Amino acid sequence: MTQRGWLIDLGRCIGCHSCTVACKSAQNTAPANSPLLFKGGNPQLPLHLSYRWVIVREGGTYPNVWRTFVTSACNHCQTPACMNSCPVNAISKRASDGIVLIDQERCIGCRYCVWACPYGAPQWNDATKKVEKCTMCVERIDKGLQPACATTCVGKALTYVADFDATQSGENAPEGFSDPALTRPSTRFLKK
Amino acid sequence: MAASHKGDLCKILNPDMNRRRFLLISGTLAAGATIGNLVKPAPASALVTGQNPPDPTEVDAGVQVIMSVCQNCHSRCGIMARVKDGVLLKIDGNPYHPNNLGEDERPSYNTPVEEAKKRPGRLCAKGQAGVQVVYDPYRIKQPLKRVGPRGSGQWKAITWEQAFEEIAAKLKPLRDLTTPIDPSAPELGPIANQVLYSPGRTIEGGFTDRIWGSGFGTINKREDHTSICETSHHVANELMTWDEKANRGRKNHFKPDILEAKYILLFGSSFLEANFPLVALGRKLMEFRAKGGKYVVVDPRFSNTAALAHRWVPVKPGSDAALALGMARWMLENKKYDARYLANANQAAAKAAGEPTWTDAARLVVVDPHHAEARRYLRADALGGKKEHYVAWSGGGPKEIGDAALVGELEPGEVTVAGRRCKTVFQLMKERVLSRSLAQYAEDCGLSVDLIVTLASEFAAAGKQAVTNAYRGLVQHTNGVYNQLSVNLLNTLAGNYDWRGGNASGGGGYPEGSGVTPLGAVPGGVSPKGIRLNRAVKNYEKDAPNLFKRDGGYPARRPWFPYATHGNYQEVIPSAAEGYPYPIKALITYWNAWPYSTPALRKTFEAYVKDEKKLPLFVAISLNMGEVAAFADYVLPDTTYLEKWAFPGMTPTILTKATPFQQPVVGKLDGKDIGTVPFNPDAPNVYTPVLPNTKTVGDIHIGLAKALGLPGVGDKAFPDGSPLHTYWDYYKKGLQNLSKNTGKSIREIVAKGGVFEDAGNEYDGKYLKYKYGNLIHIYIEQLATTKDSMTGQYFDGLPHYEPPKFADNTPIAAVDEREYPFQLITYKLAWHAQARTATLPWLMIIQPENFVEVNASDARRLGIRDGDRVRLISPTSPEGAVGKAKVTEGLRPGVIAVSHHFGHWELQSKPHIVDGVPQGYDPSRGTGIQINPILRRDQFKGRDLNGPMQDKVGGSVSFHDSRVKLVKA
Repeated sequence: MTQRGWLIDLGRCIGCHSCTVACKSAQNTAPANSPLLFKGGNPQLPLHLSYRWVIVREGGTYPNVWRTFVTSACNHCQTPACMNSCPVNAISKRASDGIVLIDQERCIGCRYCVWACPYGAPQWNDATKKVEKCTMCVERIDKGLQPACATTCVGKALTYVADFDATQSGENAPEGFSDPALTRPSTRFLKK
Repeated sequence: MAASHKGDLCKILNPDMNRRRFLLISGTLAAGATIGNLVKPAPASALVTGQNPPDPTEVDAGVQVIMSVCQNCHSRCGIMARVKDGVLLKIDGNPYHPNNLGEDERPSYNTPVEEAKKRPGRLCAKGQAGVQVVYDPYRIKQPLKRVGPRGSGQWKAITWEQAFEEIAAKLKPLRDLTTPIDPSAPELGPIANQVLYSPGRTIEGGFTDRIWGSGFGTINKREDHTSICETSHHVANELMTWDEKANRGRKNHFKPDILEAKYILLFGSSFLEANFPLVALGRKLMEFRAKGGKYVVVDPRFSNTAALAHRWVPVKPGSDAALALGMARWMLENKKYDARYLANANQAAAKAAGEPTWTDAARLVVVDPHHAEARRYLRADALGGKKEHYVAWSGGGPKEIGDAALVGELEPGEVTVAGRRCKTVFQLMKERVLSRSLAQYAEDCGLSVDLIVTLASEFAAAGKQAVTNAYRGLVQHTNGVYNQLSVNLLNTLAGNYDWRGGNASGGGGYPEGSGVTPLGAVPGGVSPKGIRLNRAVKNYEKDAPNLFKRDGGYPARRPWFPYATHGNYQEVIPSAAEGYPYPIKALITYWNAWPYSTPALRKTFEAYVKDEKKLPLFVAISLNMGEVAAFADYVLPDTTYLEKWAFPGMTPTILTKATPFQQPVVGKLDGKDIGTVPFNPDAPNVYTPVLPNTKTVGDIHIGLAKALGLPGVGDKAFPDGSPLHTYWDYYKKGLQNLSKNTGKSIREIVAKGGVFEDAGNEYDGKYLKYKYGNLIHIYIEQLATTKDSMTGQYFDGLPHYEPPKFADNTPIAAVDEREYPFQLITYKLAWHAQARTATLPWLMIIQPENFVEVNASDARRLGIRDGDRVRLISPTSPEGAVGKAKVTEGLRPGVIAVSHHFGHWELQSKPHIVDGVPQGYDPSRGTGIQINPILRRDQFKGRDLNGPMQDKVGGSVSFHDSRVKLVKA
């Protein structure tokens, strides 16, 4: 079976969020308009969905400080915890290319998958009362195109891999990335 | 929270209110004009979609791609807009544009669009969020006329005809091209100069000069924003490349050849955030890094660029020149500079040595302070040679620098030539650089001697593949030009100009201004005369002799800027308010956010524009009800950058030639949705924007100029007798020119979004293909022989470090430091641009507000914790500004950093009223803090100059020199 996946070069992610916005724009994730709520005069993020996002970590003491950026999304795992957790079989893994998808017709909004996924990929939509996540832009892949995030990555950190080598699952994973043995993510990394 | 506020929030947050829903709403407002577009694309598959279906792809039936140019920041990257049935779906990068794809992945220009579109170009978050610029529900939808007092937020909708007629009636009496404004100082020019046009952001200067310059005849024809960006960087580069015959600079912008360089030293230039074009700089810098290249970031703040750097150097803000000169000192003392390159006195010597450029290092300068030629380069007529030639010391005597190859001695000591005591430029520079010790330089810039030596030795070890680059962090200080000249000196010592891996001036573009029709020619047009309100490129004593005499000579009432070749934006309003050197009667702005974007201007701006006696007419051409438009008499809503034409130009990061073309990607041409019928350059191409009662900035100008009866528009607007009735008429001529000059058809240029030279043409062996190929000045004779209008003293001709100063040259810290212990700096985020992007939800969701960033040790001392409300107070803003603290280790102690972009007080963050009806708004556009209004105003011997601190040489405003104190709010 072919498996689609991601290759992330940790030395090249510049934290610019171009992938985040490419995903929001291509997938029209909610909210599509002004995002902030005000509570007691303070801005507050509404529930919002980002199928792809950038994890920023920093540390150290002045002047020896560090900051890292890792673009992150659904890893379309080889043994997806989300799929195994779903009580209604709404989550499936495409036989042809291993892309993991949530059927919105079947999803009952129980959110088991949100808890099961070690990577935070499935996300609750408060408007539909269902869970959504990265589809790897299947509508693009099925037409021979690349996912929106990968086409736009400014630092060339994020690459779409059409034929992911399952044995490289989680290779060179950065600190904080969940144990690849759990779900065998279709993502590998290059060291910074 | 008021009920109506909740109602608005509900509407804003209604999940159905996506961009297609917006079309329904705006279509209703527009009397059904876009109702036909409301075909909601079918989901690709029910199995995989979330709440909303994904966009149809670029290869789906019925989807078209339109190539254009982004303007959601000033990078001007290529964009590929995906449209279907008149709806803008998605914006990607234009694959042909060299900003958007690397040399290894960019298709040849000959590749058909149908093929190239399958691999969209890369594009940043800002560019992609352009969809939300068009479909912003709170854009101004029709011309507005003020009905309450200025700034009261009370408007009525009027027609374009009424707007043009009323504005023209008020402007007409001011088009007096002969009566002097001030008979006692006729050099100021005629009454027409009392009309001032100020675009903040403009890439259509050539077009609007036709209206306000050649047409209306005002010398204040275009006062744009550059001085609040990085003017002193441009000015310093122009002085460094000064053409002595033409009396102007040859180049204003260099960038490293990143891919082939080995060592890059960035001073206040964040390649992964604010510097531009992010998409090209980010891609190239990461390629450079992957190949083992080392780059160093000199910045008080640990930026994202610093996070991936070889070294972060947290310099004391404003003292970068001390670091650069400390490095130069080490290179000079240890002979780690290219002496052979510097000794070439002319082009022939350079050519023989395999050098594309040469310098003035070997030229002699008259150093006798009492000689009439003091501070000037020695001219060869002193030796009986030609007056336009210079002199070097060679073979034990003076030699005229003519056409024959001449290699000079760099350090002959002081020599006497025809009774004049002289030294070489190199000697003068070296003595000056060595006049401070490494320990003193280290003290000046707050770094260690060891670090300076390490950086200097790393830089020197990379030879001609070591390059410095700098931008607004370096130059937006009162010492901006000298900072830039000091950083440039390192490039000159390395001799890296035009070398592969060295300093590049870029590939440039193909000309579009002439070929078939000269776009700048205006039959019956006038040449404006006089002195600009901001005194840019004018010398107080020489250009205004009557005023100089009347005002008793030095000091001038306000500074003059004899080398501000890119204008002075911040000085316009304080000058108008003071009526110096003359008052103005009408102000027309476009895409301008003066009080928001400019340091220390809000108070002066609002007090001035509120007074109708002082400013009788104020017209704002504006997309939004921004901080400027809110005070105007008339607001004329223009279209977005995705709904207009332009030739936006390129940056020197790109080493091949390119002339991109901006065009509407959405809206209708001749009544048909763009993309639904093939583009026809011979059709009338009458444009209807998405909001049909808005107009392109060009059509607004044409309407106004016609109402005024100005030359240059209407019938017979061009020398060949052809008309200019629509904005398209103008750009059609530009395309004809470009087509003739490149041999490409207009249809191909329009389809591919410009003309682009193929990748593979970057180099000529060990050199860059497109070269500067000329003289580099170390010594700036123009400055050494020009007097500072505020002191009557000559400016300095050499790179040097001076602390940031007030207009009277008192160091700022000496006055303010004791009571205001922190230095405040600003920066920009990678996913925002200037004043314009707070309206874009996709960007605001990444980080909903900004912070007052404080070093952790400072915060501990003051008892400040993350999230505390804190107040920043400056000497000229006792009320200060309040923001949320963020405690960080990534900032030099004693420095506070606040990002730009947030804290709008207008921009539809609150409602305005049109015809008695409160308009929709979004308070999220006003979150966070904008510190520009509290930055320090300049002073002259205790007199408040009522405007920001600035660089008297280059004209840059100071963003990073204000001292503040920090208290809990």
